[in-house]
Amino acid sequence: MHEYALSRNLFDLVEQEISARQVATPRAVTVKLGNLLAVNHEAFRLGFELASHGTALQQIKLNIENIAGRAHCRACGESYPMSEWYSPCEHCGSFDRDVLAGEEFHLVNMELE
Amino acid sequence: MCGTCGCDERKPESHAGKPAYVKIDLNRRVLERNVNYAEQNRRALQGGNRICINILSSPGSGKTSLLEKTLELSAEKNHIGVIEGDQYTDNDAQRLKKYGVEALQINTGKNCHLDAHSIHHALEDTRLQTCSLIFVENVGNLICPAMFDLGETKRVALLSVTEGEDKPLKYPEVFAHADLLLISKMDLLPYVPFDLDICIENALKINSCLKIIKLSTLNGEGLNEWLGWLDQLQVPVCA
Repeated sequence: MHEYALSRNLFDLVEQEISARQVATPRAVTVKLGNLLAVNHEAFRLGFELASHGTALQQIKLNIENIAGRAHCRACGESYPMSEWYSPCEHCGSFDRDVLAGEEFHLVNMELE
Repeated sequence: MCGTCGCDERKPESHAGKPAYVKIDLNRRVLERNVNYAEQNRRALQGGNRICINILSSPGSGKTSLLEKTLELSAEKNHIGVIEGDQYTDNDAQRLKKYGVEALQINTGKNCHLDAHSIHHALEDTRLQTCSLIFVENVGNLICPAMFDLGETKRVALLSVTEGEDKPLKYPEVFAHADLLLISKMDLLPYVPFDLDICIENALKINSCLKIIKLSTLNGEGLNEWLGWLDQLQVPVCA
């Protein structure tokens, strides 16, 4: 389960931000997570709970913003929604594409009381 | 900085009438640490004219056998190094050391993938300093290693004919970011219900730029093509 390693990375980032800004523990953090990444949201949440358990960060609410996949078709030039990696261009059926969105994995913001 | 919310205001009264909470924009990559190490690795490899190949597959697809055969067929071996990733044991490193190359074992313990930080330390190891071609045999796993850029020059995915032709659709990320797909154990093709054409079609649905080589370490099919692919990566060192 790589989600635990991913949530450890998030935990470290949040700790760094709190310490660098000398602020109180945030009430929530928001993570942007692309739909095309092999990251299970529930496993990631569980990982963050485990990582922060028993620390000052354990009451933080984790908001996950799902980012839908989107591609630019190299064959016909149109862009189209890419719900799966195997989604063809909905205009011409080609798989020749550049992925425009869906692989984001960012700590977007934190909310302070 | 305001101790309440991190804003630039210093007086508590300036918060009157504002929302009960404040959002601070951060916009940092969750895998920032890995990205930074990967970039350092990439620069160090480029600076030293070194090539690093990250090999990914399920357990048992033939990664170590491929490396054994590659070493056996390479006339010059003293420029080749191998970094072996496994949860436990140094069995694979021991297998490869028999061919007279440096093979470093990284045991990831409970972790299911190698990350750029562990590769950073391995690349600094004096035993690999003189190697201009470094293979990384990642932990056998089609899901977890895919998200971790190691700073490698090229990424190679292996898929054996005993695994099923729909693996690229089921575990797309490994194939989406690979430069080369090796379809291994081709010698077993007559004995297994594996549709090669559909497998290739599936892989190209995920990554239309994927280069594909069919090979067998037992009967030698595709090995020259594989060695040729490796050769064209190795840029001669400028005098």
